[in-house]
Amino acid sequence: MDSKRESNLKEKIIEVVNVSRRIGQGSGYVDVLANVDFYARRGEVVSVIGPSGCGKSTFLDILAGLERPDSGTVTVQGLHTENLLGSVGYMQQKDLLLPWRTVMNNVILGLEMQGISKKIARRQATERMDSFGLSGFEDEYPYALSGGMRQRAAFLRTILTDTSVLLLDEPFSALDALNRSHMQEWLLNLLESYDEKTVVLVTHDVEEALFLSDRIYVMSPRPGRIVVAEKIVWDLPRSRNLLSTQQFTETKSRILSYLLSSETVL
Amino acid sequence: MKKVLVPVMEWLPAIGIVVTILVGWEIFVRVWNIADWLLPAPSAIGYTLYDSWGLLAGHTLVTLEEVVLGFGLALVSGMLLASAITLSKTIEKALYPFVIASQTVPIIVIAPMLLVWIGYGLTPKIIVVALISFFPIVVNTVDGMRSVDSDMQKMMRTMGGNRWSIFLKVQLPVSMPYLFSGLRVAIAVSVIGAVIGEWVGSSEGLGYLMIRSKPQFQTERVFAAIAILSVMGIALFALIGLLERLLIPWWHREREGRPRIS
Repeated sequence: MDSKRESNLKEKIIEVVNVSRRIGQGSGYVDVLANVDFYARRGEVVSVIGPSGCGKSTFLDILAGLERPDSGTVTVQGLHTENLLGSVGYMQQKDLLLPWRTVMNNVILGLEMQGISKKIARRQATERMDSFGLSGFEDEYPYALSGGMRQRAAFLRTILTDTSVLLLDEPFSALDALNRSHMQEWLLNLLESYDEKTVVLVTHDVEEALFLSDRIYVMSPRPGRIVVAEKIVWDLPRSRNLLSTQQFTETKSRILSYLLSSETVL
Repeated sequence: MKKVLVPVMEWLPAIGIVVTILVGWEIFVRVWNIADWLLPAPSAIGYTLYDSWGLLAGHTLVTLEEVVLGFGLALVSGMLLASAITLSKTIEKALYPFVIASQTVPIIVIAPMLLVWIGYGLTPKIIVVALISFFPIVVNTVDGMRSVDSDMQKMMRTMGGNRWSIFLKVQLPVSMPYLFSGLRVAIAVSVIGAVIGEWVGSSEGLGYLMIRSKPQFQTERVFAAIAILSVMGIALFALIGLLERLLIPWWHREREGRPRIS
């Protein structure tokens, strides 16, 4: 059933070894990340969960090439930190749609930056509007869309750049609970159809992480360290029903206890 | 019918104030029997507007030309300067202090010097107008370009954006509402700039007409010129507002927040 999830033997697309990051200088510095080891294999969905302010976003910034680690190495598809910008898809917490562009012109922004002609870019976008629940809204401006639609538009913009690695920074945190669970199911379906994409999902929602990912890393409060890495295998197919199984609730409480125990370290 | 009524209703308070002041003024002048050269009644000013329309219209066009050209020059140079300041730290450090310093030098001092250096014609007036109006344009546009949030810049960089593409695709459009705020201030001071330019030395324009009419005790003509200048200022201001609605419609919709699709 979860065929793509039997991916143990696939190559490591992302490999992070002993990465530390300190922000600020002199006596005013903060250690944001300390000796982080991390990897993700091709096609895997890997979640990083941790309390707010544990350096999760900094971690994604480093994977995207926006920030450089102070020590340690980062390799994404064979590329190192200095060459990563532009080759990793990164969707941030906020949708960051440009208010002066229509939905269509927003989602093709990345293609435009790659130098692809607007005509071809629009054709590629049109093909996917439907599966992103945006068809019929191509000519609307972002202000007219609901939070979920805006988030899907932002996601389509990231997907269209066609990078094989996707970084998602708490993509649904701005949505209400009902919308969030709809979006999680939608994302789950979508990711199954893009099974070659490697996804790193940062969240503080344990349920979301368990529902969507193949492996989970738990981070400690600042400085962020990886406390535990756990592989997630379910006996049931992933659906809402899974959430009420004993296996799910047990795993959830185990992960939560890691989170809580790491919290008391502080 | 409703479509016509709504703007009328919106303007009603302003029109009410104007009418009240004019009526009070008229009564004041008539009851106290004040001489026309000291304070002409609104009716006398109105009559002058009607009677000397040919003369006034000619001078109005001259002043309008100075305002439009000076403002245009300020717009183009202001936007170029703001872009340069945004794109280069060095240019910012080198030029921004001068942009601010330029506003501390009284325009009334610079205007006569321009006359000495450049002469009597249209050019020194255009420069005075541009000098006085480019400041709000530059400052507002720079603020707008800087207002881009850092997450937006991050997003552009992860999509392979460089300094230039971030500027063109994000910073420039983001700065548009700020630019228009600057333009509104700029157009109002432009009219003042043109009048000052004409006062210092000219042979035509409403400012010149005022300077010439005052010693001849044609006070109602001075007031007629003031009335025209006010109307010009208001009309140009309204025109900027209209252009803003046409050119950046997204800004108003974003602010008004039409009901969302859910």
